[in-house]
Amino acid sequence: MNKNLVLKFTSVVFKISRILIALLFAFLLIIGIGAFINDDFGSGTIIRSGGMEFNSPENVEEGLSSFAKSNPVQFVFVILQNMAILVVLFNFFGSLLKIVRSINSLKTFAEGNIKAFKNVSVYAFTIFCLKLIEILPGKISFAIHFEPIVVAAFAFILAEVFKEGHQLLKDNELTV
Amino acid sequence: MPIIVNVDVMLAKRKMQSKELADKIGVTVANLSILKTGKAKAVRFSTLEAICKALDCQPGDLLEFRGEDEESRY
Repeated sequence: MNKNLVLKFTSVVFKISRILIALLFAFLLIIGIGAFINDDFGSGTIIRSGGMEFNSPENVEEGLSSFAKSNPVQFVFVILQNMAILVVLFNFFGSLLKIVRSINSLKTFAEGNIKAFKNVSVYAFTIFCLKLIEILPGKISFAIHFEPIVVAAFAFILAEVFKEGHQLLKDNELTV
Repeated sequence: MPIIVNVDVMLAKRKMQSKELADKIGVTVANLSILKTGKAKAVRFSTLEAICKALDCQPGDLLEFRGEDEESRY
């Protein structure tokens, strides 16, 4: 596999991820509204901080509607938290897509990539913050997820590397 | 920048055009323009050698150092 093929594959993966995130966002919105309207809505679905689970109804201890009715504040918080994470993830993949596209068009050390990596770092840190409070039906806990922090730090380092690369490129362009 | 490039002065002395020099030394007119306008951050020894050969001059004829005090006078 050559470089271009890998980049194209990565680009496709990021695009698909963005589409899936947009669909999940729409699904969450429907779930959020539907659980308050219909009592039987989403009986096989469990929602909590960090995502959703789909089970057969008999295995579900507390379905969507009962969670929404028993703890409406927590339920709305979980829905909003998941939506916020999806929005940030959507932008996160958007920035990565921008970087991959610029590498593909041989503009690797363009100024836009420095900004894109900084954005990736900020998005990863935002996800870390959003995941600090974890809500399970009837239970609130505090959780530290290290993965987003590692990604944020890595992206920030890469932004600095690209900054250096951009400076070298500029110097090289002005060398006769 | 305190380093002044006097390529245009030497070009005038030798009655040579920028395009002709660019062709002789193997750089683009745009790059030669960067050098002439003082925007260049660095000059390769190979380029300097080619310019000296083409204009039959010494590197000192092309480059000049002007301190900040001298620069403010101009």
